[in-house]
Amino acid sequence: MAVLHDIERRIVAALRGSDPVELEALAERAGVSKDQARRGVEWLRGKKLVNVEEKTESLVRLERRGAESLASKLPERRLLELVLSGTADMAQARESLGDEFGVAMGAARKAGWIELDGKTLRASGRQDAPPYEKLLYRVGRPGMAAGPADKEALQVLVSRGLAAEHRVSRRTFSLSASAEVPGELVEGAIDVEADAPVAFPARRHPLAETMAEIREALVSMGFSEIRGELAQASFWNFDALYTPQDHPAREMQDTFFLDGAPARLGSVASPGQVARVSEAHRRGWGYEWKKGPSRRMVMRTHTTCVTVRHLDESDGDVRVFSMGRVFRNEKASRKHLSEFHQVEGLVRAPNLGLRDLMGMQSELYAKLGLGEVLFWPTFFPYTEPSLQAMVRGPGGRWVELFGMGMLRRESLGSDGGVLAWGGGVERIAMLKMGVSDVRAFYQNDLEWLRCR
Amino acid sequence: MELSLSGLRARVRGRPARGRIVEALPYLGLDIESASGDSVRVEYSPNRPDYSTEYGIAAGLEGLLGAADGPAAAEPRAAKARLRSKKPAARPVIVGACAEGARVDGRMIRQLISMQEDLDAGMGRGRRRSSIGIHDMDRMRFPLTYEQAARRSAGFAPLGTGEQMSLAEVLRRTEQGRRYSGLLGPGPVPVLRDADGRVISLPPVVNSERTAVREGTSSLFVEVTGHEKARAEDALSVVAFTLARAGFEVRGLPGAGLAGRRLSVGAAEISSVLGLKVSAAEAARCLRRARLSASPAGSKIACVVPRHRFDVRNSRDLAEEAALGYGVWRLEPRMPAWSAPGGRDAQTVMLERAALAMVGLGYTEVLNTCLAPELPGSAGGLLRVADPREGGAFLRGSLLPGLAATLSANVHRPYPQRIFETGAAFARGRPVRERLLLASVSAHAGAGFSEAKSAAVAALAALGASASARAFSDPALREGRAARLVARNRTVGKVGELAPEVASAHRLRVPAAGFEVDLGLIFDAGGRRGAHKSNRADGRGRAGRTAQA
Repeated sequence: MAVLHDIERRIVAALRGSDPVELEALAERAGVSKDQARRGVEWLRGKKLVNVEEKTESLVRLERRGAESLASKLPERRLLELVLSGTADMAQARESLGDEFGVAMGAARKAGWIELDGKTLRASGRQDAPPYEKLLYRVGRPGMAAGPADKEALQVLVSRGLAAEHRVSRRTFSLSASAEVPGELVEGAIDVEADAPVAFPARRHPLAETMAEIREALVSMGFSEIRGELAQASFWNFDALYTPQDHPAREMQDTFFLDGAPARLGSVASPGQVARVSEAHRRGWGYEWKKGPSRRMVMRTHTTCVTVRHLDESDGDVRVFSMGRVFRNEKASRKHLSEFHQVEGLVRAPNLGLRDLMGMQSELYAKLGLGEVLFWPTFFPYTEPSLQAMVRGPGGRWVELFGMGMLRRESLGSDGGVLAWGGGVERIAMLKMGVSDVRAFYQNDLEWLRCR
Repeated sequence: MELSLSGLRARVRGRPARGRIVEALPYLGLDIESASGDSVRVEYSPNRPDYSTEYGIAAGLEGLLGAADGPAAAEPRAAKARLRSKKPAARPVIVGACAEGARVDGRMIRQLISMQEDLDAGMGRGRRRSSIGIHDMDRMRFPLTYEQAARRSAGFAPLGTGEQMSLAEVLRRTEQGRRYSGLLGPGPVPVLRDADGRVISLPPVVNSERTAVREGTSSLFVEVTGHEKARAEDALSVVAFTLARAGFEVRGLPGAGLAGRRLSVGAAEISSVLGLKVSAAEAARCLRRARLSASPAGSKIACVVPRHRFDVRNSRDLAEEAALGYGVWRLEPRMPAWSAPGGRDAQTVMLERAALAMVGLGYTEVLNTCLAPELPGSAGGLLRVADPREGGAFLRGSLLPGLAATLSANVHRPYPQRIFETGAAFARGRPVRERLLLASVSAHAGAGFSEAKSAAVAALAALGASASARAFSDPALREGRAARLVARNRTVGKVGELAPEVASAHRLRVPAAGFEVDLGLIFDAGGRRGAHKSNRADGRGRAGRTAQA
């Protein structure tokens, strides 16, 4: 229900508890002008707060001659009074009444007041007023409504041009039932149901929210977070993970290499680490490992460069994850970006196998609300055996989620019993938010960021 | 690779239902890309080139579905045919095998060609490492000779032409010649001739039209050339295995190296990889289902690994085979029990605190890429990446230019617009200096220096640093409305109104002001309790930078 204007409120107050009233009376009672009252009731009618009753009735009004007759009596009455006062001669009476004499004579005789004897007028003794005469006085100056009882009398007055009948319509106003609702009419009330101006809450980025959720799940599962730099020496991004130096992933079309100075190997890795990597490549891949390619700076292609270094530099049990931005030299599409986020973890503890890896992953996905999960065998360069987790995506299709496996012995820090897993953050955010184009996360459309 | 389910079914012993085949394919490690009707598109892993045809996949399915076990093809015997290699310098290695006793049909030809292309491109590294030639053996006479020949010498009619050409012409005029001649260097080229001196191949470029395999061909000769014998043998072994599965009897020429290798693995290692106790007998069964020869010997399992499974080189590789043979779907996940607490990284704690403060101040978080084109307001001397496929080549040195670009992309959205970002920025160092920044901008009719400074001071206060501003000038900020932010006598950032040139370059129609701070400097200055406290409590070297959640 809409809020009321001050005029409307006054009118409603004036009508409360009252019989239907006409506009003038209403204006007076509400203390507003007639114009204001007219406008106000129209508004209130529109809001269905006021009922309007419209009645049509007949109103009798005296014509000029009738008004004269009211002042000087009807001609037949004057004639009777003349006769009663002694005037018996018809010529004399005619003179006195002028051109009304004929009417007076006819009416007086019809009423039975006067008899005509030759040319002499004589009062019959009756002088009772006929109905039309009574009506004439009742109507009086202001006029009156005509009822059915007066019909014949009125006809006489009308036919003699003394009175006329007008049809007029009258409007009266009263409150409707719905106007009885309290609260609407409280002083200062506003339209609480109208649209308010749109406000935007300041928000985190959807990916930041997803990452916070993943982080919380992992921390609750006993994982500690580590962070590392985005620009890494190839040594940590590739060589430490047993990626041979002629591997296609190390070619320019797949990876962002930095123009400019290479890293000093001595400042990113210990001599022992360099020696172990060199030996692993020589023995496993059968080629002479060189320092040069491992010094090239690269925008990291995964976060494993961070966790594996931590693994190699820690003793005993390790249970860590790293989450952050990674880079691939790819064209952007609905599914792929050249920069995206990955979360990935490593676990080193005694007696862990594939089932434990699957268990950890199932637990994580359940915490993230991703539901049903399947594991399929697959191949990754630095894990063996390797699995990929599949979850139900839109339309019930199996969607690849994380890759995982047991870190190859040839990777730095691995004794063959290290569990490794990881995957894209955007993929999870897309599944959870129903986003079908990954580029949405980086378009920074404020409409979406504010109102998603 | 496109598979036909009916074709596949016909090759699998026991003719399993299509549904079972589709269900089993992922458990061979094959990714199903799409499936419609009889056709299934799969992608095979680079370590399993034997899955590049239906013949190889059928062998894997037989094992997984329990229709057959042990080796999927007999080990090739020795051929009588002979090949003499003079080790041409440009490509010194050649190995070969013969295959007889079956008949090539159209479908087989298509699969053989597609396998050959896959192997040449992948494991053959674009024919550099190895390149495969398959010939009609009835159209040549043994013994063959592999030798070098001058480019101008008489050649042959290369595959796809009927025209006799000199070797130089083959290299110059054919598509394959133009594509692969670079692999041969200058000088003489390698050729394979038959006993009558006819050139049957110019490896790794093209074979002769004369020995082309056609529908109806019933004996094949396969040669693989390269630089390392082991790599050439690898490729030959896959072709030999595939032909054996296609019904041919395969024999290796001397030196073909098609024999399997003995390798053993302990039941304990398999148990530990699976996370499941398995006996040596059970482990051997799993390995046989993975199409290896395996028999228990005490607590170990002695295996013979077919030559084409050159990806299986050590006991861990055998453990992986055992896992596949066991059936990954049968492995029941279990959550390991451990009690140590986890925690967030100290930097994360600080970043989250900064973000919380900014959201509280009414700023919405945005995310820009680190790689960008050179944006208005960027300082010069940015680091670049080599050969980006698209987008920017420059590593951002500041977050503010990206935020200004974000405002520009949102000029049609309602104002006020207040946005912030946290993230890395880069500068030359040794070799790269990476900083973790917090930056924000506010844009609306009343935006200005004061609002930006208020936000900066409030955000820094939330991080435990009390900041003041000192006038300075910066190309990205409006002269006279710019200051550096100082906390603990160090410059930690800057604040100011966007320079008019930057604003107009971005077509901004409202004023904008913002700030940027180096969170690393705040952090190093002991900006916040908690992070460092837990550092001491934890005390595990690099892991020590982890704060309790």
